[in-house]
Amino acid sequence: MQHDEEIISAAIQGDRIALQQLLKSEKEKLYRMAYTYVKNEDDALEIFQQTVLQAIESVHQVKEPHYFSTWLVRICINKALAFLKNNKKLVYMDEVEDRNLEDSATADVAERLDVSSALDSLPEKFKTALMLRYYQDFTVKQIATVMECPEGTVKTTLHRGLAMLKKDLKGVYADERQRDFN
Amino acid sequence: MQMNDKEILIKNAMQDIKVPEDHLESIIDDAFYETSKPKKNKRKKWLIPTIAAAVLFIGLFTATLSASPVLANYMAQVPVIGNVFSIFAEEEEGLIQYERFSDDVKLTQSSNGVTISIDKAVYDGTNVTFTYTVTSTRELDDSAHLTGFPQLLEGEGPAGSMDWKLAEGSLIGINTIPHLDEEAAQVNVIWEPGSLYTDAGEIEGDWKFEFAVDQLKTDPIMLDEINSEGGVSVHFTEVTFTDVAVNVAYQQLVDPALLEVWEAVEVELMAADDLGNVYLVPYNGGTTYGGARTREDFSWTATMRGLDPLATSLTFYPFGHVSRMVEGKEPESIRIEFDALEINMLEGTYRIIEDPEFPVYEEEEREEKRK
Repeated sequence: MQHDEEIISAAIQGDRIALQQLLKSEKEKLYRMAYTYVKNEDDALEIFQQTVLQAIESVHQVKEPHYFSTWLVRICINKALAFLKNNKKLVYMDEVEDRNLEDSATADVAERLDVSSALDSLPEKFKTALMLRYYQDFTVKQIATVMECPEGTVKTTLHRGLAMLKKDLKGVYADERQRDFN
Repeated sequence: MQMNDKEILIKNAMQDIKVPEDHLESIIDDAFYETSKPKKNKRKKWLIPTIAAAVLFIGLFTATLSASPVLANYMAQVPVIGNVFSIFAEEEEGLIQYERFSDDVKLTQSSNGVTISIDKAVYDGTNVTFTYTVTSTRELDDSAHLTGFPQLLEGEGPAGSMDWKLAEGSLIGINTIPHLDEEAAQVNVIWEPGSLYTDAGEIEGDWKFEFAVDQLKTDPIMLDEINSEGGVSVHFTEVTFTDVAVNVAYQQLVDPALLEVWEAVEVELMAADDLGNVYLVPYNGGTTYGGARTREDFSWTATMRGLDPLATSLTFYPFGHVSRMVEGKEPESIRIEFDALEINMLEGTYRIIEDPEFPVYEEEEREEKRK
């Protein structure tokens, strides 16, 4: 998400119209991010609303315009995770990893998964990293900022995430290839 | 990293999520509307509008809306960190009076390691104001605040403002609920906070407060004065001088023809006394009323604090903004200034001052100089 640095600066300095404009241009991405965590429109809307309110409240804390995008996405992710936690919908990472291992042990199980549910079945940090990289088009450095971890960890997470996805996507994947070749 | 099928698939899967565009737009617009009040300082403040955005809040705060049986409140030992009014008074003028004239409530409830204590409350015929203290076994930071809006049994849904800050590791706050009714000797507050929110996590709990607040003796001066300017009229209906504050009720009446060109009208007040002190008179909230001709016809109440005790007359200066949003640009707005209304506090009389010179509030003056 690339924005005019001037608009971002204005927003940080308290120009509400500028911030409103920025949020409107990011609304789809933020909503889709939120949706990926909660999987239903009502909850995604609530997270979206919380994100917007938090952004209005704390935009003055953004130190440099180029941090704006990562800052905004981070709010959204934090709100989504807090929401899941509060609603006790958060599936713990180990649990999912175990389940994934079981799943991959069962042949063909991946075939009935589509991409989105494959993405869903990934542990939260892998899902977040993949979404940031391939949906938000963030750089590894930006992802490291959002996820508050070293860049090396981001690379590993992306790599592992893709590998896990590959397992889940075996079926879909084959179809896609075929389509390409036909 | 090369983009291959898998990555494109992620992108596509995300793009497939249907986006309720209009809904998102209105959430953003509402959020800006709700937070549109200027902040005086770094403290966090929510203004709960009684008008258009009320619908949004109903969705968010359903838990607080229904009156249910009173739960037993019980007393407990809680750390006393001093009077909440006086702590806030260090930053905001005119709150000291509240400390003097408010009644002790002293209701305390604990749940999940969080203790909430209602300290003091006062009702001056226009606003119910009460203070509270929250202590937690978990360390609290700046992000801490209670969720769930208080409301009056006598009121129509949530309205008012919430103001809070961290003091000595506790969360302290002032809640204000507007309710104009000089006849009511007493009003009943219901508050079910729901949770203590912090960025580190939300602590839910079962707190529910219900308490009555007696009205201070009030002696309203009934007004019936209409000042018109550029298609907008201000109708002053009453002013009340109480021990804690000055409350004024007025209506804004808008010529329907004006709204064919403009979208929003907002009439506000400033005040100055005969000693040269200038006061802000922020409004508590507005409601549409029966007989309103346009969607922008509102009844407002506004409250002014810290009136100089030596003042003998007070003049209200109404001014308004007529505005409209322009696609992709800053909203356009025009300022209108009305004739002023001078109240003689000794005699309880009033008169209109035509084409007055508008007083300048110090803070504005300072900002002007900075520019």
